[in-house]
Amino acid sequence: MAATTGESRYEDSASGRVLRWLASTLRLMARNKVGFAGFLVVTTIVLVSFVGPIFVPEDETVQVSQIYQSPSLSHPLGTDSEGKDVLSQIINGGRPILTIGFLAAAISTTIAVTLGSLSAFMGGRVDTGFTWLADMVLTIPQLPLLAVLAGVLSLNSKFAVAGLIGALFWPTLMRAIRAQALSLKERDYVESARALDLGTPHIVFREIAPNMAGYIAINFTLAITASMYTVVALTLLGLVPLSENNWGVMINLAWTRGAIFSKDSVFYIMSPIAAIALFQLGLVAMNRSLTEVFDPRLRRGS
Amino acid sequence: MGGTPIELEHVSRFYGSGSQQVRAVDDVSFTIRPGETLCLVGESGCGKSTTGRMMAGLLEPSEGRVLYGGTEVGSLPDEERRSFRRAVQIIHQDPYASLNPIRNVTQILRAPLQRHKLVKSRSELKSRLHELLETVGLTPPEDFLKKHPHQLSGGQRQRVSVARALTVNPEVIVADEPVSMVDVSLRIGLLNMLLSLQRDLGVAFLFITHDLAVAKHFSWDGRVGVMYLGRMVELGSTQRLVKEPAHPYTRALISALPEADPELTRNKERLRLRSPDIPSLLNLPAGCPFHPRCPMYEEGLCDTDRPAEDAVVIDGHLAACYVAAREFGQEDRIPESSRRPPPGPVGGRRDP
Amino acid sequence: MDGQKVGEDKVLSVRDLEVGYATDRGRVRAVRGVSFDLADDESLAFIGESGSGKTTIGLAVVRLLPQTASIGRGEIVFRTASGEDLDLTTLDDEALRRFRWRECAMVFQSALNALNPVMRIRDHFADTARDHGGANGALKGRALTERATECLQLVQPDPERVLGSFPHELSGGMRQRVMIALGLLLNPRVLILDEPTTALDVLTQRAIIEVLRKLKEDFRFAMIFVSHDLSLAAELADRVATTYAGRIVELGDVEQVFYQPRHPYTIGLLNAVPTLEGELQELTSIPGSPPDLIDLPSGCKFHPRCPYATEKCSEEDPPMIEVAPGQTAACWHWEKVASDWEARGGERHGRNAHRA
Repeated sequence: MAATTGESRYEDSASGRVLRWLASTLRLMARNKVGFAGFLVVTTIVLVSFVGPIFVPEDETVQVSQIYQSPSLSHPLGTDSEGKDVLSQIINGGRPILTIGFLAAAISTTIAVTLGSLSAFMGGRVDTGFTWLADMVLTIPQLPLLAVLAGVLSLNSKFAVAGLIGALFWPTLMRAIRAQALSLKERDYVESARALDLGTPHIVFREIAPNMAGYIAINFTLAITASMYTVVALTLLGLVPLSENNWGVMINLAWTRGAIFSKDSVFYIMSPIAAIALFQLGLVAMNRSLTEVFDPRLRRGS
Repeated sequence: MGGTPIELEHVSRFYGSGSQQVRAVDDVSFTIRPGETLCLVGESGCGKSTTGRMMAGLLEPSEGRVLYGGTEVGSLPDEERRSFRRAVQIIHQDPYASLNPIRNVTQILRAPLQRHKLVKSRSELKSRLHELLETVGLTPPEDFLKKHPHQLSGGQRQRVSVARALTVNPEVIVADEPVSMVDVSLRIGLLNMLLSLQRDLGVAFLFITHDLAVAKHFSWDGRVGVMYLGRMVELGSTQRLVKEPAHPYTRALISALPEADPELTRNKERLRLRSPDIPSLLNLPAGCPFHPRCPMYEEGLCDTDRPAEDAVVIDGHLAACYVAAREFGQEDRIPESSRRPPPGPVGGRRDP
Repeated sequence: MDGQKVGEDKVLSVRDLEVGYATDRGRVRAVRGVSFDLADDESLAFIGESGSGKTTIGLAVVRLLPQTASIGRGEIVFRTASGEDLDLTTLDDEALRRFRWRECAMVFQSALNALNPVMRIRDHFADTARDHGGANGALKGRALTERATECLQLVQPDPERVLGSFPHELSGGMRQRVMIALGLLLNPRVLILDEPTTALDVLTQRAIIEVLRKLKEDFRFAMIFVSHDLSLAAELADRVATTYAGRIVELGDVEQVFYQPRHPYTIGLLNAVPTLEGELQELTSIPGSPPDLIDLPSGCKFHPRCPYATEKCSEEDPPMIEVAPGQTAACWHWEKVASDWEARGGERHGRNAHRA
């Protein structure tokens, strides 16, 4: 693909490049049917959760006469224990969960990639140190620790919750990254980079890590699922302050307010669960497409 | 490009210890002089690749020293140590693993140029990239700048590898089997390109190969070192080695090589080895490592001491074989301890 | 293998064979019309580089092509030991099973993954015998061990030790010998060897070449070698076929192809291989690169790299033309090629004469 002269300036501009990249990413996603379906599910839920609330505000009106109504035209998912519309709660309730999920996954993945790559490449005492640290964190039972910390610290911001989860979830991924990096380290082009004296940061972050991009992306999506489950679990246990309604809170309320004992409240209980489960399924399905997206040979199309 | 000789002095590389120790490279010494070609030839497991990597500073020797311009690399001041690092570059065997798949040619070549501040402006970078690609025969350069490795053929990738090595103006290139995985019809082009680097830029080569015919062609005016089980068994000028090999292993290699000429190869006399077994590095025999297979083996002479590298010395050509020493009239170079008469029948006859 | 009728019996006849692979980028025509005969006691070497189609030809004969491959056109006729003529392209699975290894066996490269790592060598022989055993009962028990030992003895000196070993306990050279012995187990009429000496050390290669030479001398069966190594053909072949971009471009006796080549690609190969013997030669590469099999050039597929190419070459793909008794070459300008070659002394460019 020789660089031709006379290409329009638009195509070469930054926005042009971004659009081309988006287009080719979508095309690659579409190669795998299951993966693309998962991608659509994930995108839909994200859009609904972040853009939806602008159009569908949460129903705040308490209407005791409308407790646990079955689905109807005005309440497609029925009502809850206070007569509030369930659908609007679902639309509004995703944002906190998803945000914490993404944030926590981002934090744990960043820690894992950095420590894993440095560990593999530098070896010796650095490696021993980081691996020991990972083992330490791994042996701590995570949910009880989170429960204790959540009780002791005041987790009133999303960042705090995400940070906490992220700080405890990185060891397994770090070991996987380390194993990958150890194998990549033996590659000929890494050896050449060493001979050319390109420096450890360059080698770790620009030669080794990018070749793990697909692997990292897949593990990132799985980390989101794990983090989301943890947040919901913490909420269910009442360890996260119930300052705003979200899917986790809805399950908690369903539990504490006895919704499980009433057969009319099926939709109230199942809606948040279904929403979470659907999102997780979408992520896992989307993974199938991620390997294609990250294969440089497919992207350049030759 | 500067002429600093690089010397390996009694260099060894071990793995493990005690009875489980593997001596991948065992007491190897030689010097690469500025602008010369030295081929390291041997079969798999002989230690030639490991030796090359030690010369390039990518592996630490377990014993012995690497000297850059006469000074040990370990005790060089930082500035000069970095100079040494850049002075020796490496190109690999597998064209499909030697380049980072997610980077294009420009990015691959730009990284060392920018890191070591070898270019000072975008236009200088551009002209240097063009120059490098032309030097390795990738013309016109514009066609290759934006390509990714998977868009290039094996031979083209090797050339990009060489261009990358040239970015830092090396004095020595360690070429580890650079043509073994390239199509036969393209090998000569690559070899001629490398030779042109020697001729025009004064780059010296440590050329590692298992193919003695390629070594002969590449290093015709240079030297060849033959390695076996981690040791250097013969070292000397290519022309002499190919026509009058001293060490029995070299003779076996030459005799075993099939030639692309039916009458020549079907009528060539083949040296028979004593045993088909290949000894493992974990279980080396006493004395000369080749003796279990050697057609010139002599009991008592070959199985006690390991022959020194310079058992035979003829005009700077070395061979590590006592039987050969006797053949060349250099019997006095054989140490006393190895001149024990073989246990024979009554009386212990001494060999003439 | 023990005493066929004396004569020029043909054991294999291939006509206009076409094989293609389905890939992401479209259908790749790996073999584009290959025709040749094989006598029942000759060795034929297919020499070519990447993309030449040589391995595909070998796999097609023994019908071991991968799932993505399909035989387009052409016929492969095999004369069995009982005198029957089989069209291999039409055999069903059962018949193929009886055909493989008993009539025609394949010896793969000695890579570690050619043998099942959790089975001992003895079990590999048992498996092969059982899978292809057929009508007169599979070789079993003591008969099997005897036959396996016999085969192993043909190729190397210590059968008992090898039979009890696992593949990873054997060196590359030993594994290659085991692969050859496995091929010989059921007495096939044709043995197909895929790169038998590639990836082996020089001394081990020599040993394998001597093994094959001895088998050739002692037994009557046909061999097809597939290799990129010209010197292997020089050692063992009776006839040589040079292949390029899915076709045979030159076919003839080993002496004809090496000493009187008529196709520019063959000459290019000969000029590109260094010899150990003699002084420094003037060697040349063939310019350009091997062709992309999906996007082949028009006319003669070699023309972009050929010093003799004319306009006709870019328009019409030449057929195999008889250039000498028993020798054919696919080149419009073979006569000029021949006269240039003779003008240079009738030998490889720059080499010392080895012939009287």
